[in-house]
Amino acid sequence: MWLPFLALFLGFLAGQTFTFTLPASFAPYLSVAILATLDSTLGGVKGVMMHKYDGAILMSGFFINGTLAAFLVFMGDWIGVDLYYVAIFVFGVRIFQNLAIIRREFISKYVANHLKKNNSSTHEVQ
Amino acid sequence: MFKKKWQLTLTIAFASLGLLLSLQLRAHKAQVNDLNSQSSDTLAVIAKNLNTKYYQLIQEVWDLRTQRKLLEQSASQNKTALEAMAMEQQKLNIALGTVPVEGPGLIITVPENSENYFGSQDTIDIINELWNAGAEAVSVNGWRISNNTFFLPTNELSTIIMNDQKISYPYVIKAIGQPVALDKGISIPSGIIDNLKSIYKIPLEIKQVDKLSLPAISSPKFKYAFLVKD
Repeated sequence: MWLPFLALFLGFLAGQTFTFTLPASFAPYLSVAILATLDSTLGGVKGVMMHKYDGAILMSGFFINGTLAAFLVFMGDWIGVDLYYVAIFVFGVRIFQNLAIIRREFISKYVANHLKKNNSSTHEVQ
Repeated sequence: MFKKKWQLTLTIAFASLGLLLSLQLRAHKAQVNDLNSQSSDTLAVIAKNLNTKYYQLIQEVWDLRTQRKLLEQSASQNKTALEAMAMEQQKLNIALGTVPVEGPGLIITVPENSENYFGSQDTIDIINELWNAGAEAVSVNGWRISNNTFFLPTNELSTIIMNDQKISYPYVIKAIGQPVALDKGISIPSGIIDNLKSIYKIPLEIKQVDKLSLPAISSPKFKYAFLVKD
């Protein structure tokens, strides 16, 4: 359960220990790629919660979405269409949707179970 | 390790996300600090500040240069003043007699004679005559004449008191100066030497020498006499 979050932390540490820094001009593309990958990751978490998880979809979505998002923004800069905001909007909406679903699933699964358990235990005591 | 099938891929996804986040953090930091991404207002302020700083530094460089020049000047002035003072001090020391001196001069010897009295007054007269003739340093029996040298007569005929000590024959008076001028100066007709020789028949010997050396006295100490301050 906690392994993915540990991995997140370790990945962050690895990035901090690298002496290598991306050029400042890469920052917009990387930010869009991060939004895309965050969306994919939350989608994966959602899949786990809903018992519909597929590793292949997560991996493909993670890398292809991330790369494509960055590439599309780059293309947009190239041809003069500001796709940056489009990407932010689309992935932002999807991230919030995913978060909402995760929250609902979490509540219906754990919190409701917990309450039920508590209720039953109090019932037994009574 | 990966008990459930979703754990491996999700872990990879999270690890990559963490890596990307940290890279982005640094890239963003670099972008914020990058001059290209600053607003023109901020850039104008930075440029203005740098300009002000630049002129301040130029001003400082000039100030420091001027200061250095002044210091160098005063140092060289001090050096010349110091040299002049050292020369002056040397002269004064010679005049006072606190340093040994050497040079050409004259030796006057008064040998023992039992017939006529040669006293302190005669010594003083000879020394006065030597100063008058241009002597620069004088000694009697190896004692340098200084500003507070005194001669007193004694009860005995054969001794003189010089600076609290008795001296006796033969009296040797040495003077540094131009030998011929000294000789002529003291040997003028009816001068002290002439009188001593012809009237009192004292067998004085006068000798011109190329090199004399006179000893020093210890430097005088002043307890009561101080410089007058303006």
